[in-house]
Amino acid sequence: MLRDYVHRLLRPGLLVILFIGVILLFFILIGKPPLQMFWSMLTYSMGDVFSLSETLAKTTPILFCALAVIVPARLGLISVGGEGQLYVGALTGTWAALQFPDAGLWILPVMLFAGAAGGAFWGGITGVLKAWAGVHETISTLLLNYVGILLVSHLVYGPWKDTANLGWPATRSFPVNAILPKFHATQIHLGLLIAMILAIVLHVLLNHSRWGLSLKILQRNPAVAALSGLNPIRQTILVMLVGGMLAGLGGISEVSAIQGRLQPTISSGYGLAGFLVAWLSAQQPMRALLIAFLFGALLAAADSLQMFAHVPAASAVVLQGLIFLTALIINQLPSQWRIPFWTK
Amino acid sequence: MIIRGILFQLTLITLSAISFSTPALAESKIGFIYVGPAADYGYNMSMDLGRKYLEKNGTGITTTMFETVPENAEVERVMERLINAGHNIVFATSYGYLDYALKVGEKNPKISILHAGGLKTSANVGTYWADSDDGMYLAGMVAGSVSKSGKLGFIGAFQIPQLLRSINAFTLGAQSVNPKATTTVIWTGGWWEPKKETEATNAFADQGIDVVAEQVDSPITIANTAEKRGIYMIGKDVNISDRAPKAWLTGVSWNWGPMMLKLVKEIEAGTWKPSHVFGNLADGSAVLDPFGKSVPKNVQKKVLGVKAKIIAGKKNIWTGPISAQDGTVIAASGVALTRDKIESTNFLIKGVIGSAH
Repeated sequence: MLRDYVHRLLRPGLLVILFIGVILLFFILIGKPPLQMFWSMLTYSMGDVFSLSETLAKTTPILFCALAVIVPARLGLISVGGEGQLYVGALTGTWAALQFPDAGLWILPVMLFAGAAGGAFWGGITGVLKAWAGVHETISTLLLNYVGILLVSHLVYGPWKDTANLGWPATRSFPVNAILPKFHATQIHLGLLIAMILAIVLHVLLNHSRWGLSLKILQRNPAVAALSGLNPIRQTILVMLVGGMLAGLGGISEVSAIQGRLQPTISSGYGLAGFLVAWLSAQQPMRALLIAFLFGALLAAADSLQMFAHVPAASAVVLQGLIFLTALIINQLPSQWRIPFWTK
Repeated sequence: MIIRGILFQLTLITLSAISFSTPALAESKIGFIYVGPAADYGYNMSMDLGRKYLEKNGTGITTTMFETVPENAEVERVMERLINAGHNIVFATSYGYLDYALKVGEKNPKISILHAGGLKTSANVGTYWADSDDGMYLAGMVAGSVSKSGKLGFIGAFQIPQLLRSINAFTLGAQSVNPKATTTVIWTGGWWEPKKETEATNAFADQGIDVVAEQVDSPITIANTAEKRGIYMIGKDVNISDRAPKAWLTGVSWNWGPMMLKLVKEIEAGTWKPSHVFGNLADGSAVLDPFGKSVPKNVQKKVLGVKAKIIAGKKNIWTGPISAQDGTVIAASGVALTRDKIESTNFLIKGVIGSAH
C-alpha cells in the first residue's frame, strides 16, 4: 500500500525533474543563464496572482482535452481528436449563446450542454465509424480535427461574421449572461471547476465502478468480455461520445470565458497538449489534473522568454516541442529500461 | 496589540511607498506586440524598424517585443504582462488587437496604448496609421503602364476597410493610365499564408495576369514566386526590391519611426490625447519605393509628376467619377469622397474582380 503511494507520487515527480533538466539544457544551448531564466519562467507561471491565473486558464482546456483522450484510451482507443472536438463544441455552444441574446442566466447550462453535445457528436462520428466499419480511430479523429477547425473558419469568415466588425472574421461578442463566471478579477473561470469535478468523477467511474471494469475487460480480454455479455460496439461509441463531450465542454468554456466570441483561432494547441498529458498520466484522471497544470504553466511561462531573454517567439515553440518530445520518449521506453516504479 | 502592531507596520509601508513613488524623469518602457515574426520582411518588420528607431533616437527608452501573438485573447495576456513588468506604453501593431487593447486600456487607465489603425479610440487608447492609398494609386499607375494584358492581380488577407481601400486606390491608379485595366482579387484569410500566396500568384500567372500587388504581412513569398514565373510585382510594407530584381516594379512601404517617436514624446510630456493619427506620403510615413529596372523612364517621370501633385495637395485620388462594382455611383464626377466614407470603405470599385464581403 505504502509502496503504491510512493510510486504514484514519484512518477510525476520524476517527470518534473526531467522536464526541468530539459529546460535548463535548452537555455544553456541558446546561451542564456539557465538558472536565472528558469527562475523567471517559474515567476511567470506561478509567481503572482496574475501568472497563476494565466496558468490555470491554460490548464482548463488542456485538462478537458486530456480527459477526452483518457476515456477512449481505457478501451484501448487512441484518440487524437481533442482539437477538432474542442472546435465543434465551441461552435455549437456559440450557436446557443448567440441564439438568445436577451437570455437570463439559464443560458449558461444550455450553452454548456450545446457545447458538450457538439463535441460528443464529433467524437461520436469516430465511435460509429470504428464500431460499425472498423475505421481506425486515430486516423478518423486526426482528419476530423481539420474538418472541425475548417467548419469554424467557414462560419466566422462567412455566415456568422459580425458585420459591425467591418470584414474582420469573428462572431458577435457573447451576451453578458452567456459568459462563464470568473473568480474575482482573474482569468480563472467556472470551466476549471467543472473540469476538476469531472476529473474526480471519471477517476471514480474508471477505477472503481462496474463500467470502468467492463472497459478494462473489453480492452484486455475480448473473449472473457464476450462471455460476460459485454457489448464492444456500444462501449466503443459510448467512450467516443463521452470523450468528445469533454473536449466540447473545453471548447465552449474557453470561447465563453476567455475569447468572448468565436473566431478562427481559439486554441493554442490544447488538443495536442491534452493528448500528451493523457499519455504521461498513464490514463489516470487525477494524475492528468497535475500534469495539465504543469503544461498550463509551461504555456504561460513562455512569455518570460520573450520578455527577459529577448529570444524570438520561435524559441518558446522549440522549447515546448523539446518537452513534448521528451514526454513521448518516456512513454515509448521499452519496459525493461524503465525504473522499477516507473511502470503503471 | 498584535493587530495594532500590524496596522502600524502597514502605515509605515504605505508611507514609505508614497515617499518613494515620486515621479521619475521621463523614462519610457515601451512594449511592442507583433502578429508575426519581427523579421518577416514585411509589415511586422516595418513596425520593428520603428521600434529600433525609437531605441536609437529617443532618450531613456527601453523596449520589449513580443512576436507571433495571435489576434485573440492571447494578446490581452501579453499586454497585461508588459504592463505588470512596468511598461507604460504599448504599441499593439496588428489590426485585430484593437478590441483587446480597449479592454486592457480600461483596466489600466495610466497606461497609454497605441494601436495600428482601426476606427475606435478610448481615454487611453489611440491609433496611429499612415495613409498608403496615395502610394497604392501611384503603384497602380506603374502597374497599369507596364502590364501588357491590362490584367492585374491583388492578394489580400482580410476583407477589411484598410485593404478594400488599397485595392480601390491601386485600381484607380491603373485605370488612370489604362481605362480598361482590371484587378482580380484573391483573399487568403490570414496575414501570413505563404502556401496560399504562392498558389494565388501561380494562379494569376496562369490566367495571364502580369502584375501582382498584395497586402498581406510579407511580400517575400509573392516576390519569389513572381520572379520565378516571370511576372511583375508591387511590394508593400518594406522595400524588398533586391529579392526580386526582375519582378519588382515599385512598392509602398512604411516609415513608422518618426511618428512613433513623436507620439512617445507627447505621452511623456503629458500632452497626448488619444486620437486617430495619420501620416501620409507628404510627411514621409508612407513611402513610394524606388522603381525597378522594368519601369520605363517616361512612366517613372509621369508617376513622379502625379506624386508631386499629391504631396502639394493639388490632386485627391478619391475624386469622382468613382462607381462600385455593381455600377452604383460612389462619387460623382469632380466630387471627392469624405474621410469617413474612405475610412469605412466596404465596397470595391468597378474594374475589380472579386468580392468585398
